[in-house]
Amino acid sequence: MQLKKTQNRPLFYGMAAMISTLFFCVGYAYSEEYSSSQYTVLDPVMNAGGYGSSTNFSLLGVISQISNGPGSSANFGDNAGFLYYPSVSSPAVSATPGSSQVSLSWTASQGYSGWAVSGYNVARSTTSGGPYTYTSLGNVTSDTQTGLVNGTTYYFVIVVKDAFARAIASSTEISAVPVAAVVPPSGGGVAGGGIITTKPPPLVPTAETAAEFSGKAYPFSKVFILKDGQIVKRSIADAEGNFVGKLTGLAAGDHSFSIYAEDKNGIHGSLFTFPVYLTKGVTTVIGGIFLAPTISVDKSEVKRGERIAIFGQAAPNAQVTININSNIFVQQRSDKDGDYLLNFDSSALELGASSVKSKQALGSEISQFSNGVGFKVGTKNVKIETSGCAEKGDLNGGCRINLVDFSIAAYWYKRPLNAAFKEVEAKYLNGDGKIDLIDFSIMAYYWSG
Amino acid sequence: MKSIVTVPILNKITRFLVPAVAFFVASPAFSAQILFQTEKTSFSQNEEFLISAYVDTEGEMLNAYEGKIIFPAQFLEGKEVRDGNSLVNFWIERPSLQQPNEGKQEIVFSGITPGGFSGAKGFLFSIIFRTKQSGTGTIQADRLRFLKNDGKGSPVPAHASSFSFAISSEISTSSPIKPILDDAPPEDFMPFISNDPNIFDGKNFLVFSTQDKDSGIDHYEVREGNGAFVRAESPYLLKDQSSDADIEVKAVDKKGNERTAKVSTEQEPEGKQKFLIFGILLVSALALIGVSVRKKIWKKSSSN
Repeated sequence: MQLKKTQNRPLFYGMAAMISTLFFCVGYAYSEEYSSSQYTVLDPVMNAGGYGSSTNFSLLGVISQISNGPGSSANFGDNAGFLYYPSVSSPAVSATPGSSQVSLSWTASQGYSGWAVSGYNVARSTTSGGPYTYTSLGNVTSDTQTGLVNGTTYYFVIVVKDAFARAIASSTEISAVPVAAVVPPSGGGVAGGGIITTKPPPLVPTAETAAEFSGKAYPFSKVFILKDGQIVKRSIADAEGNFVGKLTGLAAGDHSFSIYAEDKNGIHGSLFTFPVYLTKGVTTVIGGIFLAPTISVDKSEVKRGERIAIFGQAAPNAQVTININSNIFVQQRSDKDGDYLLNFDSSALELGASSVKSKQALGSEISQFSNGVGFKVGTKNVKIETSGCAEKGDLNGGCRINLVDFSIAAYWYKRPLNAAFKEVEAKYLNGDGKIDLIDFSIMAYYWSG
Repeated sequence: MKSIVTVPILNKITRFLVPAVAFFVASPAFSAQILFQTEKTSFSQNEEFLISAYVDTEGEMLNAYEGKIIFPAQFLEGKEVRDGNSLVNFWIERPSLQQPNEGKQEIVFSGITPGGFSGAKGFLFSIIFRTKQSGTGTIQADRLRFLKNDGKGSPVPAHASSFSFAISSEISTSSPIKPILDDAPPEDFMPFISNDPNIFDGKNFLVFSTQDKDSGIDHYEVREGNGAFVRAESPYLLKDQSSDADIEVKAVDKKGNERTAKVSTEQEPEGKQKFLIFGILLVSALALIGVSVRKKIWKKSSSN
């Protein structure tokens, strides 16, 4: 690597050092700028070590140039500068009891704005709320806690760790009671061709195979539970947005469950999907599901400089983070009914297409981001009536993206489109004049079952 | 000559004021892959083995996958594809053995997982092979396409390490791969009748899909009225467009277990449901008012 030294900067360094001292009370020194054929690092800054903190921030250490956002190439990756509201989503957890053991699996936490997940801890206790004992794990999404006492209730929390192994998020607590095994029934076979399945043995052959769900959506929202892409259960959330649901008579094996909610304005929230292995004759408990807020806008086009209303429903009194075009973040608190509203000044946006999404945080729980909603920044205001229907994928106009839409697309797969369907494809899919995997991917994203 | 990057002082101060308060781990260059897994790589002649294909999403949320698995037909005979328990919920092209062509045989697949899948070992499907003549060869994946669950179908780099095998001149004495023990029917499901101006000239068609977690779905059959069951694929154009006769769809798994479901009409969109509920409430209210008025009139007339 070739290094370059920058000269004649005493004035700037002096000012920078003063500001640094004033604002952060941390001593900085500029290092050399350097570059290679692949990248250039400007004004690299290193602190002398140790942490700095105040009531408003905590400084973990700096080895960075001063710039916004992450950068990367095939050979090097870097995250630098002021990363807005970095966070990770809380995992949803499933617990399947076995004999003297409980199998846990959880959804991978998603890091935003540069925050990466390095691993998880499993916290375990026989008392709700702890104190817990911890098992440290790498970046995996399942674990089996063994050596447990049958008949005793165990409580588990999954703790998410950052690159420094510091806890940055956690799931809600989930419980399970290990039960003594009985003789497994004959038959059943091995799933998926029979190579590797290390699942706990069946416990009570006569008991039903079931899945029990719990989580948080929006006050009085309609909650839909999908199994392998099709709606199998509907429920209503309570005033706090909490919901529960139980599916019985299920087949043992790997399932893909999805949950979404429809708010009081008829707006569909984003699909929260997680794979779960169901053991024959055992009820698997899936908890800590925290749905992303619903989101909508009042205009399909906003005149640049004027305001656009961004709104939706979240859990009551949740901290809602609204993200516009990936680089503008605004935080709002939802009211007691879960409503949030941001009248956003579009002056900050460039002319052209924009999109907005949101997530919510309540206590230590953080949701994933919602699906994005698009609007245009232009020269006029075009109001839209909120239909609640997804902006893409709805090929038959039924306001749901399901097997019917999939079948319509499947009909045109690898066939030349007629003129009428070309218009549908242009409006609801990717507009390339053909039906291929990309169009099915778009439908899978907006899927509502 | 070395160039010096110059930035206005104000810009520099702004950049400095933007505090670098955290240090995060950079994301590595991303690439999803298909993993092949089997118990061994050396075989005798006439030996059966099973190889499973898994998806490692490398932390990304994916929702669409397609590609083909290619193997040399002179060394291997593809016997069976098992897709029960696959992470794919809806197959666009269900993985199946194609006819050998120019010494090669292929398995083409394409499908989606609504809402996406993220994981290090998502099961796609497995294949049972029987070895033929001695020699060496590879099983490889080609034309892989993995798409993100981002609403745009953004592609991610996808790759698969080829699986190399060797077949000796010995004749196998090992027993064939055990068939899946599957005495359970496919899962319950609900076929719909629908119509759309964009397919089948707006005529009524049937849509259906279900899962079988053990051996996987083999095929579907449809019966209209008292007719016979006929093999069908979704979407299925109904022969009788006007009949009110019962329509049944039978899902058959690869072990011959069957699940038959009766057809219901497609669910009304929510808006229409609301109108329907409003209509029912309105009619009920009018009926109550009518009854109440009638009672009052009756009371009046009886008191008179």
